[in-house]
Amino acid sequence: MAQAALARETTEEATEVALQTRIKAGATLEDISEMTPRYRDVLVATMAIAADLEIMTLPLDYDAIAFAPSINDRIAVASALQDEMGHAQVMFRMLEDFGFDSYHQVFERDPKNFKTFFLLEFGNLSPIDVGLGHLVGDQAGYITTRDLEENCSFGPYSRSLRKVNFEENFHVKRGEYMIRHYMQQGPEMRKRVQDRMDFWFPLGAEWFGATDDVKSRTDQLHYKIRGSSNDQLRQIWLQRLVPFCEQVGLKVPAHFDSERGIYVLDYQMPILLNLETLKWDFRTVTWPEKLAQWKKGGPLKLPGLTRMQVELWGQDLW
Amino acid sequence: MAVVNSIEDLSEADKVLRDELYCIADAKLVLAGWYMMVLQNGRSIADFTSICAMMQGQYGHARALYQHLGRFGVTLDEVEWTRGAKDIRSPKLLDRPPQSWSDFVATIFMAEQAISTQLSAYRTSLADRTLARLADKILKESRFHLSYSVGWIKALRNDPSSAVDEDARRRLVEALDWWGELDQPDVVFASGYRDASDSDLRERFLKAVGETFDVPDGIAGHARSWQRSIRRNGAPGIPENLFEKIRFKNRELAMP
Amino acid sequence: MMKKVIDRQLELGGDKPEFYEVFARRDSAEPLTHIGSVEAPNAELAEARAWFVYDQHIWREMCIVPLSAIVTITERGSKSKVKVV
Ligand SMILES: [Fe+2]
Ligand SMILES: [Fe+2]
Repeated sequence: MAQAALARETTEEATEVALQTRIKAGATLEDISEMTPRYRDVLVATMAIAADLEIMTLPLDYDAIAFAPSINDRIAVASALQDEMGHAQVMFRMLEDFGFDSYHQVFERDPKNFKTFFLLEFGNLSPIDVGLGHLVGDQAGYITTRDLEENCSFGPYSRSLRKVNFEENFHVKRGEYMIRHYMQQGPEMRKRVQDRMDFWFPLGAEWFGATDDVKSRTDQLHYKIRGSSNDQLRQIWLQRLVPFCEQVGLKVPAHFDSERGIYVLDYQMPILLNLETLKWDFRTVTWPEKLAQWKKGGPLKLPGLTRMQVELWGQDLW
Repeated sequence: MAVVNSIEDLSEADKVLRDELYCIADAKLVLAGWYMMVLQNGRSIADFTSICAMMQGQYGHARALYQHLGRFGVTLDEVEWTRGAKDIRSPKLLDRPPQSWSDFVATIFMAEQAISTQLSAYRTSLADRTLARLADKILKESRFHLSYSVGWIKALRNDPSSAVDEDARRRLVEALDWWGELDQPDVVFASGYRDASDSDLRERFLKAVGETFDVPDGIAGHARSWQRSIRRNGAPGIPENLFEKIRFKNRELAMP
Repeated sequence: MMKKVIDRQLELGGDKPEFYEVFARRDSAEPLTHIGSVEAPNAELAEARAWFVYDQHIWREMCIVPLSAIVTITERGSKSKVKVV
């Protein structure tokens, strides 16, 4: 018995290693039938998170549309949200082929079980947040999905991200344009932007997850679902964001370390956000403490996703 | 055409044209607001995408029409900021909030159809070629808005107990308020800006609606106090709470 | 607050969603390409959704084909009859 189980395990292990070797040599998978169960699980988990992140932008951007200052601004936010919903559509469609029911995933699943990120779980307070959301958040998202497009060994997923990244790049550009403009509107406005950047920056830094010394999802790299590690992606984000902030006069807790030739944070991850004051406490905590905060989620997550699953009519509208 | 700064400087025909274009642009502005308000009620991910797109489409068309109205002295400052609920000239059809998804679908069908019908009469205008081109562009872009609502109506009708036809009948009466009092002189038509009269356009609208819904004989709006300048019966303006939801906010943060 | 109740038979086209595959090209030199997929209970709604979801370019030509109409050759037996792009 034990020997049969061991033999089975060894064959399974061998199939996994064979697939990893094929992928390392540059092979691209086109069909589910080519996958091992473990490859499939890792891929599906990656795609499911990406899909949830896209759909979470509905509650996030909705307020931004409603409080927009002009026709043009309302069009700009609605256009970004249209893109995001298109991305969600593309990703949930792909998951359908893996046996997911996207209607159930979006409209019936308990909001608690959506795998969204902390950065998307706080309501936008004003158009300044819209600009910072694009600059900090879409930038982080773009870096993640660019990596998937360039490296993902599942061909259909990589290809489907072409449209996503083409559009995501516009969101980042829009954010840069908005923040550059606001930062030219005098000291009072600059202070308003700085205050909100103080909130947004650490959210962006932790978008990429735990640091490489503790990260768990190495299977993503073994199977070349993605190409870069958490810290590598975070580094790209810092390389793009920090110089921009310096250029427009925004202070962020990160700098270029000329000795190591990389950007580094001025604090050590992980840190906690005080959910009452919405201020960051820069004292380093443990990863279990951070994970607990992520798991609890931000104030927009449950009400926002619940709104997406209900309908309001008549006097509830106006 | 020279830009004028005061309504008094306008000819009678231009004044009436200005009013009508304002009504059409405001119809699109408020319809865009409808899409915004209903967005999260969408029933599939593709609905979220489509409603966002139609919202942008309507805001974009409204903006283009307001820009065109610039030649009559209308400014974006007036359009977006200095007006209140009483100054919005959208059709009465859009005052009452949708009561359900089927009522929403029936209403956007009527609204899209009504606005497109009215604009179709500007496509050949020789008196204002820019306006003619703009009308043509808007109509082409609105085609997919109509397929969206027609597609939904078909889908809802698969259910014999669906209320969509009933909703549409109620909304049709509200929609006809836009062509309320047709005995009044139609200066925009007489001066050649439009190639069809308001009464012809009302017929064209009913015919278009008839391709999707049963139109009862002798259906009529009540012409009690219809004013051409706002294309409505009764007091001008839209409900305050609707205006509060769709108005623009955070002015100091508007992007150039 | 009322939870959305979606009738799959009516709104999604059946027990299983009905998909339409979207094909488009940007200019006459470009081949007509499969660019994605939408779900809809009828062709009108599919047309609108395809137009709104895949609006990343101004397409010179676009059409949709019901997935059920596609006969697979190499992909016989695969869970995905048509793969993206
Ligand atoms: Fe996205
Ligand atoms: Fe984005």
